[in-house]
Amino acid sequence: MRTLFIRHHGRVLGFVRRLLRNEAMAEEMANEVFLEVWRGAKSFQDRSSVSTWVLSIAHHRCLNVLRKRREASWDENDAVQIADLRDDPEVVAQKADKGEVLRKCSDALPPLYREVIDLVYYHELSIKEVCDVLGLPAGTVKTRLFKARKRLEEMLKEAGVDRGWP
Amino acid sequence: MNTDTDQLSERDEIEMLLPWYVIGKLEEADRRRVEAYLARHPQMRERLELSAAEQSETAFLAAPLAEPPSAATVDLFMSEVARLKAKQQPAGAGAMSRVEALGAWIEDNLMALLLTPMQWQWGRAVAALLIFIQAIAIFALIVSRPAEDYYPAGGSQISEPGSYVLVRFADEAPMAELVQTMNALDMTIASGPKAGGLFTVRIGPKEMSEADRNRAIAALRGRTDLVTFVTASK
Repeated sequence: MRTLFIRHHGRVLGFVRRLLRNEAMAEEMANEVFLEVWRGAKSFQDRSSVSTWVLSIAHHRCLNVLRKRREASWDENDAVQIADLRDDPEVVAQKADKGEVLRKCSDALPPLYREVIDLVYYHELSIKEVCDVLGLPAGTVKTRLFKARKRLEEMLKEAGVDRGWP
Repeated sequence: MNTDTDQLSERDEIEMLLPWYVIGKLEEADRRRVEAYLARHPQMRERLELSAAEQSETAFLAAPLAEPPSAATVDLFMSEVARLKAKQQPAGAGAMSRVEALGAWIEDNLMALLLTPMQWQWGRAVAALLIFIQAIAIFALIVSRPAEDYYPAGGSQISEPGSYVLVRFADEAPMAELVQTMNALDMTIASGPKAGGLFTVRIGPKEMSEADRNRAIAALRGRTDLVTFVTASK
């Protein structure tokens, strides 16, 4: 268990930090995830890898927290207002640096979209692995990432960066 | 057949696959499909480049958040597991604790050499072999050692020099606060839990004056939100 904790704790903590945006809560959550892993170790099935299984537990726990939180609901419309970004002097000053603007917009996406983007682009999970983590069919996973990227593109446009899509 | 993708154009379907193409995680048939489309529609390569930029910026954002756990974080988590294990153990099962401690030592030290997330399946096969070795070791231990021998949950006897305290952590102690305090006071869990949920904890540097040790113990005692009992140990 110690080995599993050391190997996977960092990525789980990073995952929940990005979703919850609350440092103390994220650390508690990461520990709770591993306690659930420990409790459920005997029921672990071969249908997914250990890392996918651990992330799946983290996803479901974060989902519950975010659904309870009125101020940051698990809603695809729940993004930081584009106007906030447009008026952010830092963003305005750094428009030349598209990467910086892209990071700000990505960070402002609703959790639903931020999560799928992280799972693919950062955790580098295959379609099937993302399905295992989110408990969704492949079509829905592909569509969710497609919509997330479209939303990101709209936010970039609002912030003054037009990449010519869609 | 999933209705989510039924009404999409071929271009949109390929666009949907691009992120997985960028990270090299597409199945062979989909990968060939994307490459065939890219060959027929070179302008789609621009979309591929945008997806690669998104990937790179996301990694830039997420990587710093995924820091490895500190030794204190690991110790605390393992002590929580040990505490829960002790709670689950039925009364009268104390005679098994030495065997379990040895099992934990084998699991933590030998499996650490072998296990990575991708090697889990191999690890399970090796675990079966270790269980066999463990059975032999337990038998040898039982027939050769006196019953008083003590093996801490961490697996090694306490022989390191330093100042030790007996501590009982508060059930509701927030993990983040506990980790912070343990780091600040340079604390490492040496063994436990023992009867009454007590842990032996090394506190401060190995070489420490008595005055410094008393100050560190007093600081720990002051954290009544984190600990319910603290006393100097040998």
